[in-house]
Amino acid sequence: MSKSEKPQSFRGIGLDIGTMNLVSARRSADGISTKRMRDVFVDLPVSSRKMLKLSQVSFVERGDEVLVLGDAAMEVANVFGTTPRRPLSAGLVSSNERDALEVLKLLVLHVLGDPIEPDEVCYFSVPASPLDQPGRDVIYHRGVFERIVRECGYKPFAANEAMGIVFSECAKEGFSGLAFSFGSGMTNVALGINTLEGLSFSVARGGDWIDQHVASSVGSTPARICALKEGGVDLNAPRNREEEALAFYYKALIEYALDQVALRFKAAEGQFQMPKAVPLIVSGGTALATGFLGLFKTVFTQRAKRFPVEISEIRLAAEPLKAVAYGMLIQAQQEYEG
Amino acid sequence: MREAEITCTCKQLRLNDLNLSLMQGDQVRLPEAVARRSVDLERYRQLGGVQVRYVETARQMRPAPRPPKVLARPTAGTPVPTVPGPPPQGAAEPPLEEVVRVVVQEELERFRAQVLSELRQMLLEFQRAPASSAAPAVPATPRGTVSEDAPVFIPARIGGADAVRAEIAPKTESSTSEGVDGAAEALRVARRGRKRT
Repeated sequence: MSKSEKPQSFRGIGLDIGTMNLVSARRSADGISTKRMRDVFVDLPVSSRKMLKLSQVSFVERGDEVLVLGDAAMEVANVFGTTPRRPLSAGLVSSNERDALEVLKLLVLHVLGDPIEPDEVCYFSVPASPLDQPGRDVIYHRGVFERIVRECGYKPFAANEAMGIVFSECAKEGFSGLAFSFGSGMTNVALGINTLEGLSFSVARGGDWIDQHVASSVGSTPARICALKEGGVDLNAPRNREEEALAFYYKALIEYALDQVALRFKAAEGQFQMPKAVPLIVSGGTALATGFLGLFKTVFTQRAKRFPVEISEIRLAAEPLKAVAYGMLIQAQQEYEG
Repeated sequence: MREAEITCTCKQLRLNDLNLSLMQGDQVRLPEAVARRSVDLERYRQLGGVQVRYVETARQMRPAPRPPKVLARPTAGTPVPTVPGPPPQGAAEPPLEEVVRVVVQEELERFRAQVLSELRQMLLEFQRAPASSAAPAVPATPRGTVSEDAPVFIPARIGGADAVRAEIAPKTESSTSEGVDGAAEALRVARRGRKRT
């Protein structure tokens, strides 16, 4: 089907920009089509070109070096003994990564693909400013991605990351819900009240924070801990010292996020009327660990009495890695409604 | 008086116009005027064969210290020398303290002149040295990183117009659209309802 023949209902695309993954979601004839790329890259000397071609690894040539992007970068980094570079740090454009902008554009270009029509609407996720890092804001981050998305041929709209989860997961509750997006670089929280954003913030702790602290506690490396985590770990039944440390730090992360929510709501007391009981949605790559939801519920139960928002139920997003991208897509499609 | 302290840093050299032959590590002092007139010295200094340092020598010569008195072993009948008592009150300042004060002052002046001279020398050498040999004032930032004081801005165009577009394939998945379709429809209804009210 050519671009001109595609039904108009296919217009609009959602983009989730995360520290670990970039995910796009678009409606297609088969349903919802998503594309995902790891948000990492590796730079190698030009002499590596031959080896990369033999291994059938895609790369980008740039002057006297080659760049390997995405998932292949992780594998290549292991082979060559280098450290993969990340254009995003703690959820925002890395301030000390010189090649961040150029690499981000290449990644976004391949994740979005070509627009169906010029200036097709693209909603991309933006985190909220981190509460525990007052010096950081999202203005530059948003500006960079607005430009990148525009240069890819789309009309960019920035939207809060956690609110994307409210849109994709809380339809039956009238789009009222408290969403937690446990990402790699940070954890985003948003309270949606009847499609409107009541409150949103983030904390600069996520999967990377867990990896670093577990590694330093047990004498390992963050990369190894990340691989262990992604290989499958049951937080309810740790089998060794490393998995036990992982369970400790997962619990610490959940406690920290819930405590920050309570503090933030206390600070906003009286600014708006708290909704009736709303669902609490847990999402994000960090929430994929086996036993995460049970651990979250256990920690929440300890704080339930003094939690400022009445919670009807706690559940995991249907697809934690894609929930934000789905939410962005839903909002993008709305732009074409009359 | 200013003098040139010449240290030979190469294996050996011969300064013909000064009639000097030096081996590695040898150090000689010459009057500043003489050193500055020497063409051979300047040539070796530029090549790095010698180090030249201009120092300020002491302006005032202090009196040589007196040799200590040797006390003879007393013999029978020889009167035993007695230790002189403390000076009476109101007497003039002891000469030892005056000497110490003068010495400290001279050392400070000499140190100051030495430091200034070395700084001038370093500046001269830096100005004359080729650009490639100049050591960086700050350590170079690691490749791929941006120094802290580098301005942060969003360029007019991210990525050059001739950026290579490689065949990089993201992981593609398809899923049913019921959840998304339902949410989109619900959102449409919710926003329409809000508009009417």
